Amino acid sequence: MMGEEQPKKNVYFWIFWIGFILLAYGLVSFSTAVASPEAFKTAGEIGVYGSISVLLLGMIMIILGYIKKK
Amino acid sequence: MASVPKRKAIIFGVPIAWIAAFGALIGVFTVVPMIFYIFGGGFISAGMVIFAPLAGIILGPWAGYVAGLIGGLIGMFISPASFPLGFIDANLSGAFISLYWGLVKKDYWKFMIPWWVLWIIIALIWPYHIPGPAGGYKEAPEPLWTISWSWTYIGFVLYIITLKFLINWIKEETKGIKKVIGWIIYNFIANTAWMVPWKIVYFALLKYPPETVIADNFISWWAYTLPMVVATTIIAFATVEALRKSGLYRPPGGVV
Repeated sequence: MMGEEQPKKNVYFWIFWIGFILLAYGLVSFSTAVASPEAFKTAGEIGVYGSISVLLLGMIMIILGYIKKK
Repeated sequence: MASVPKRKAIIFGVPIAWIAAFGALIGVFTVVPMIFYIFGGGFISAGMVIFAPLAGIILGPWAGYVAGLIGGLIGMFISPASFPLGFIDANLSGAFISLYWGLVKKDYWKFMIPWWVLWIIIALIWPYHIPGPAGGYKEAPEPLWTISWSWTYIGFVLYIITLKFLINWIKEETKGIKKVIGWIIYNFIANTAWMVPWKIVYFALLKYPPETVIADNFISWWAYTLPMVVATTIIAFATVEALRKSGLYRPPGGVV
């Protein structure tokens, strides 16, 4: 029983903490990409939409990891 | 706590494999933009904001420096736009980040204090006062020039004040908001120390007008320091906590 549960726990443990890293990346890259028209131009549409996607993915991973790792 | 790995390939108490892995991560992630320059034209990469500070925090300053230099050299070739000064930037935008983030740990104060003061003195006088116009540089207007570096003075004072107890605020046993504040202070100190050489060498070699440097220094508070401190606080907190709970080896030079 314990042997079967162990890998599952580890996966959600890492999902939870990696979610924080993605959240930080998305938060900073999105906020600086839209901070000025010049930054927006450098980031491009892919930079803006990509960074907000990473931000949302990070939030989902944190929530999922938090609920499931318990 | 896990025991010291039984390997011979160790530099500064850190397995070479860890240094190589961090170097590779820093290098590969130099192509991923993270902090976009407010005036456009470039970015600070995820390799610089995420993995270079982590290398210093986890491996310590000396092993972190080696990892950062490996990452910087890789980045120099695969993302030349992030390293306009070539090998110099491999140090300034790669290795120095890991070095400074590791040096904030109390154990290294004998090196950190004179090293930081030296760079403040360099930034205040070179090259916009000495050699100044004789070297083809416009004289920097005072007292604006000196005031514009205010973030590093505040970081330095904070470093001295918190030197004795900051490490206790981020250790494993500390809980809650105190630990978060500890990481914010730690990252603010590292960021405001590292930005001095990062900026002055870049501006000096590319001969930026002093007024541009002053403007860039004033916007640094929220354009570079704020996003970098927020990101590194979340990332360092998450990674260090995960490493502590995972039971992996903890290099003695780092703060894990």
